Amino acid sequence: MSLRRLIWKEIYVTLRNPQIIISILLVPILFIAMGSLVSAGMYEAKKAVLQTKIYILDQDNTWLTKDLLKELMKSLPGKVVQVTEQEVRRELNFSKYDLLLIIPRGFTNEVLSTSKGYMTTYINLESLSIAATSKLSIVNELRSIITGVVKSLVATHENVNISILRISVSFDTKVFVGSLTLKPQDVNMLSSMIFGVSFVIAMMLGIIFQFSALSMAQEKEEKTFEVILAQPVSRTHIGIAKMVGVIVLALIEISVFTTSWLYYMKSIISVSASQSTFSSIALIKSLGASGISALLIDVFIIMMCASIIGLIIGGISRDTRSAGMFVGPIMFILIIAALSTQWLGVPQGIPQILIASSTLVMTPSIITYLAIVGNKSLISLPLMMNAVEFIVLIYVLKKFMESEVIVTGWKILRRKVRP
Amino acid sequence: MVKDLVKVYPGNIVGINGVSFNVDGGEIYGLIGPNGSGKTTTLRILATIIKPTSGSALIAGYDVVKNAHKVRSLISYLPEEAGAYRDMKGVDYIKFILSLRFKGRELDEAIEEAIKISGLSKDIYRNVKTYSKGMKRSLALAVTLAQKPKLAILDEPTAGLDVERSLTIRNIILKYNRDYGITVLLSSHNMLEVEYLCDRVGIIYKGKIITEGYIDELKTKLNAKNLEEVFVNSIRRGRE
Repeated sequence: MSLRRLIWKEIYVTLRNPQIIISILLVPILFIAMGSLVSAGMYEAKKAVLQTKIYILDQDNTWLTKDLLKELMKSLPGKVVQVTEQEVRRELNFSKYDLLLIIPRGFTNEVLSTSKGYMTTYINLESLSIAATSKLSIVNELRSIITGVVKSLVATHENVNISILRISVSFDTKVFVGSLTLKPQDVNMLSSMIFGVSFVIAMMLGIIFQFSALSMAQEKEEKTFEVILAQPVSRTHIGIAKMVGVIVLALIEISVFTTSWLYYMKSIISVSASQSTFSSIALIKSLGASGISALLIDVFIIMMCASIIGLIIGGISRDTRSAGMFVGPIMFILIIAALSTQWLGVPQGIPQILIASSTLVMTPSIITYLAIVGNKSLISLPLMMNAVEFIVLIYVLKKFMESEVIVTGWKILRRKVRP
Repeated sequence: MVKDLVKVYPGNIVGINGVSFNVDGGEIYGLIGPNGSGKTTTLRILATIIKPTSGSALIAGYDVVKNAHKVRSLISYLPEEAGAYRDMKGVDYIKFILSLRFKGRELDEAIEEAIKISGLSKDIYRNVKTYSKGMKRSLALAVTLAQKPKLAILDEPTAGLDVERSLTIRNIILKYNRDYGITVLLSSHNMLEVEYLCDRVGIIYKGKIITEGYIDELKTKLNAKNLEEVFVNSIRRGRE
């Protein structure tokens, strides 16, 4: 009987703990959100592959290349477009073309004399998302199709059995991302690095938010807050002091985290070093002085914003338990936002940049991307967005610190108001 | 001077409903009343922690809402359940709180005084998390009195303390009141304590002061043997 009562008490008390309820609800939401993100990314990737047109410039202009073109148009209906030298010259940076394949002069002779042919491909990526970079898979597919068709055409032309032919066609591929020209293997490295930036930032903001919220809630729990509030010090100063303290602590924690993450990245880079030529130093260099300055200023601004939001959440909470109710969901939102940059890419249009920047967590990856692709004129946009948010938040914090909600807590989060 | 002070919390919960009283400089005034009558709300308003919905409260001529910062420099406040930072040593807590008000030599003297008032001797160098409830209360009270304010607002100063420690604390409050002329406004459920310490009392019930005056006068007026009877008789009258 008593065991039954004890079990009942455990379940009753556990189910009345909002932190536990939120974490139970959060798990399915987390997986649904992650699933939606992955599915949206996959859908976009599939769409990108299906919509990619292959523009072919035939400089060799022989029976082999002409027949090759005909066969490609037949096997990939509506996807292959032949372009002329003049058309390509007009588009010097090839930005008009998703994928441009150039069959160089002498290709046929090379194939017939050495059984080896070389072609050049240029791919234009609008972002570094998984959807955008999936276009790179077309190159491998195309190379294998072309190799098969060339073999078949040569076998028919030479009247030999196809199985005895050892013809191979190689591609020299260059990828354009903004003003950057990269090798395909570098694209994945760069994409991972930008994702890494947003992930580290998400973790950092999460830690700052958590520390700030708990620091404020802890004052209430330890019953020290009213003692401090009754001292002849400005309440804004109390808030600012908390912000600074939390940021210093978070920087220490994030330094440890980032060092560990860089060590992990270095391990990956060392494995794929033979393939990739892009290093983290190259990434930093490609940001340029203005990019690095903008990134540092923005990271500082968003750290303070995260801290202010944390302080407000901690302020409206009655204790660390009610503050903890917010910590989980906010950390989850930050991680989802970080993941979204990898799956959906960095936004391109001005309204999209502004909306994404308002989430704070996505801004550093937007700035990194804009600086890398050389779109420096847009860098100030996300920076300004965050600066405006910071000013608004400082004003809200000042008002909030003067209000009595900071003492009594928010009505929804109070179980009982003592009259 | 407190006049027609009203505090309505969100959800239309009335904390106090027109509290008025006056505390003279240098006196010890006791605010007594049953649980939930509005004692803590009144003290919190006077300590500038929360704002009144209406009415006014002046401390040494300064309005607690309009001149909150000035008021804070004149008062010290001991909340009902005042704690201290768990991971701080008692002595560090004293230094921290007093450094928000004093500097240099004044600060050193105040720290020394607070250590003496606390009576924690060597325990003052231990982390607060190792303290008993009574030790924490002594620490908080020491910090409050060492600030030597014009007005000390003490919300149940001896709550949770044993008999011996309570007596010591009461004597310290009396000493500071007499030696330094500190005006004290305190709330308490302990009628013996109030009778021992206070010159005048105000009995608060359902958010209003229903009886106020010198303890001896109230005893005569309400035909009571002690303050406990004054309190009970006043509440009964209030109910009627």
